[in-house]
Amino acid sequence: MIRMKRSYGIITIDEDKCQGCVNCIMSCRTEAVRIFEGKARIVAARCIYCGKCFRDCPENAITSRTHGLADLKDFKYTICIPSSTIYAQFPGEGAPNRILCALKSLGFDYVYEEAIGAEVASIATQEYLKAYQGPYPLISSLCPAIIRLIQIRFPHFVDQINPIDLPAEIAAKDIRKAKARELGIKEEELGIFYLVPCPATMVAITKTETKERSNIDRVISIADIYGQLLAALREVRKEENLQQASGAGIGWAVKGGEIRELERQQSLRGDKESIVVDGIKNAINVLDEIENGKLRNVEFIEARACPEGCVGGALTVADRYVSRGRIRKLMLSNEKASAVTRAEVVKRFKKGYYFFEKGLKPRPFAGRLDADPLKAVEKMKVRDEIHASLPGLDCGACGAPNCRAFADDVVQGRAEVTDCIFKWREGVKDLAREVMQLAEKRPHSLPKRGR
Amino acid sequence: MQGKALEWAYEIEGKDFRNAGKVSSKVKEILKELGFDPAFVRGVAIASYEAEMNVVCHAEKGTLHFAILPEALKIVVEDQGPGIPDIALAMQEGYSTAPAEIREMGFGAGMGLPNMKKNTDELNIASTVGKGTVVEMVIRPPLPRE
Repeated sequence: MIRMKRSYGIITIDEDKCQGCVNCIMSCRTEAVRIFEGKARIVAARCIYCGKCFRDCPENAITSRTHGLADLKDFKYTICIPSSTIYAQFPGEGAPNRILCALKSLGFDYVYEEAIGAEVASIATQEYLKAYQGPYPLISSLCPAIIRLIQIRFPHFVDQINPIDLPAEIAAKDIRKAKARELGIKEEELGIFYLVPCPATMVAITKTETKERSNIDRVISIADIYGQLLAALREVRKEENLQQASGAGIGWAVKGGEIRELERQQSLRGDKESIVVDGIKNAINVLDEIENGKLRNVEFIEARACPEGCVGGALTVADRYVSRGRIRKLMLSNEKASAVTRAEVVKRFKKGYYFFEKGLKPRPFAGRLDADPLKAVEKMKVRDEIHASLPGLDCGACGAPNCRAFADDVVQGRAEVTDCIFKWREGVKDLAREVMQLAEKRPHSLPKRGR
Repeated sequence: MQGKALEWAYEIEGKDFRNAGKVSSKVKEILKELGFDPAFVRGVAIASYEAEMNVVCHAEKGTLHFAILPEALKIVVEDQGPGIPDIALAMQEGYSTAPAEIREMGFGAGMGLPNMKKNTDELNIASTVGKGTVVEMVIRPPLPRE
């Protein structure tokens, strides 16, 4: 059987599995999914690649994949940078170092933790906060789904995103230099593979907007290699010492981990508030209130698209709540001295080493009705009239997540009013009435009834 | 946008803190959909939020009228409430008549009218003590960058 798959960037919908039900359109917080001809389709301009629909699809029809272990052969020397969520994926016996050793045994030459990059990123952020005078709040740069949400829906806040690079990018940049020097090979002969917990991170690396080219060569999801890793974990006989990161960096895998470290280092001012928010809907609410001026005096926002933070990522395997507990345990038991030299990081920070190479750009017009303001006003009028005439049940039978989004689609020419089953029924009723009236008519040539 | 006016009107309930801010959010969403400059939208959002909060904190109820005119946006908020005895005094930063329980919630810092002034091109206030207040704000969008 030939499988029908339709791709939207890194997201793939298996149309043989997709039943055209409404779960994904209802679950999407940015209204980026529609059902068309019985199958789910993604409106790429609205998608923030959070992966929420992956989890909510009952048929598991939505997935994403970029690279695989087969790509190891493309490089002379390979390094795996696992997301810190990896430590939460296995029960008790999977101690961090054992997990890293198992990972290496899948064919990598070396394993270097993302958590080290997180420790560095935290120190760089602490330095950045020292001289930061606003605008407030400063927004964490860690969650790429939230970054994209801001670019699309809160473009005004793009300049308030912490300009310190992603932990994995920092880790990749450092280890590439160090290993190339140590091995005496060219930097481009090294292949850096990042093991990620979510599709948004995949996009943030493969289509990076903050630099010409990512420091990472390949991206693989935890879910894709979970089975192999689990098997390898049982096979680990002799462990070499690969685990270097302390709790400060590992903690970034759960919500609140980033702010926890800033607070511990007394980098927040204290006369202002800091906010940890998880879930896209909650993040939208908080950003909305800040934009209105309802929420004020906020210094730092750690917003994560996934509930519980990165351990809730759509490409992880273990339950997010169990994962959170496991990471918290590690944070407490790994209060050891960090492998990172603070003075060295501060020195590099001052040279601008950790900043985005290019600033993030707002994408405000993804949500507007028309590029021409006159047309936009016209469309809004028509849209509101159509919306008012709809039943307001938000049933999803038309393929759009709610009546307002459907009215939007109609005015943009992507749907017809009769796609609404209620409007269609009205049409049929009107037609039936007209047919009845016609049926009652008799030609003038015939005598009137009853004579 | 020559010759085409779009208008909306939203009711605001006094003392309804749970829904406070929803009206100004609606104004903001409309402007975003129409493709207005993000910084401009933010200013309008703040001005309309302050006007909305004044109704919520002080008045019985009110209405926010929002119109997109050919050259500018006009927001008129009228309420049935206690009115403002001395408008010049109320315009001063930090001056507030908000009762203690409202200040405890973090509102009523005396920045409402000054914030409105800061984010609008024209601000007119007419008030009758014991009857109510009408706040009229005109905000001109920046010229489109070519």
